[in-house]
Amino acid sequence: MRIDPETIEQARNGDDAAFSAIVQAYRKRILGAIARIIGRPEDVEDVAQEVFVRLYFSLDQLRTPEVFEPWLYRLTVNAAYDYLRKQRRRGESRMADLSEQQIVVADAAAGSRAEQEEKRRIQYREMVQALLGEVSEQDRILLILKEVEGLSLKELEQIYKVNENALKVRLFRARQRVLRAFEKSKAARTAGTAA
Amino acid sequence: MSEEERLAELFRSYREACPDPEPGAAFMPGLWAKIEGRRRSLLTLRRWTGAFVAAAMALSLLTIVQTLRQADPGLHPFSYVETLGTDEPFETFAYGDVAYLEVPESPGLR
Repeated sequence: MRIDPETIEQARNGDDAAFSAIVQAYRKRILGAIARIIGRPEDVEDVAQEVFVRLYFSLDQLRTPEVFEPWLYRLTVNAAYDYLRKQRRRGESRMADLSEQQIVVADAAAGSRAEQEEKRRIQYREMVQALLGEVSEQDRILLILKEVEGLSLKELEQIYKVNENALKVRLFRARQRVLRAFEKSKAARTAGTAA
Repeated sequence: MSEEERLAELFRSYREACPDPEPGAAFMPGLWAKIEGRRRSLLTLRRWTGAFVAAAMALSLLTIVQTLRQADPGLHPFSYVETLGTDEPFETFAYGDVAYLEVPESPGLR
């Protein structure tokens, strides 16, 4: 835990300074998780602010400070869902936009070491985003939380409020789907290189 | 390296390729502005709800009073003497006749 239970208790009792301390302790991590879930850097801060606004108005519903982190992740997942739903309603293609954006960035890179490194990162990002595009939105977020954010099954159980076995099955299926897409993309790349 | 391991490796690389972004300088002021905005709109909503509930209660009370007035024009519309004057004598009541009917004697009573 990045913050002591007393600070959480103080924030629950309406102490704004304690709430600010919580935000400062978690904002970078939450920004990172949102960035990896929604994939739109320009909207990450907006969604993160929404998470903390929701946290501010729902802190009194928190049963004990011990479950604070899963609670915060739950708010993060819900805010990300809401954002993605709104995007879908607007008919915007997230992945396509991201790729275009990244291509522009990659094209601008002139070949220095740092730029080469950035290019490699962009390739990874593109590849994983494309693979995750093969599974449903819910499974994508679940996989990101487990495989990228490194949350344990116990934490996921508290976030999703489902039992561990159901989570294991969902994760297994999602991973299998991503693996199949991974193999397919590898085969396509091999075929492209051979040609 | 198995495919599972390669996938895990890919996720690790993805994590490194997408580091946690630094929040901008406007993050905290923006957050507090949003909290204040939401607090204000919640307060306005609460006030409106309170006013609406009060108005609804007043209207209900008014309707109840009005209904009672129409149903009962007054408990004592006439004076005591007027009431006695209009009162029907006991004999004219239907059940009065029944009360004065002669009951035939039953053979068992003889």
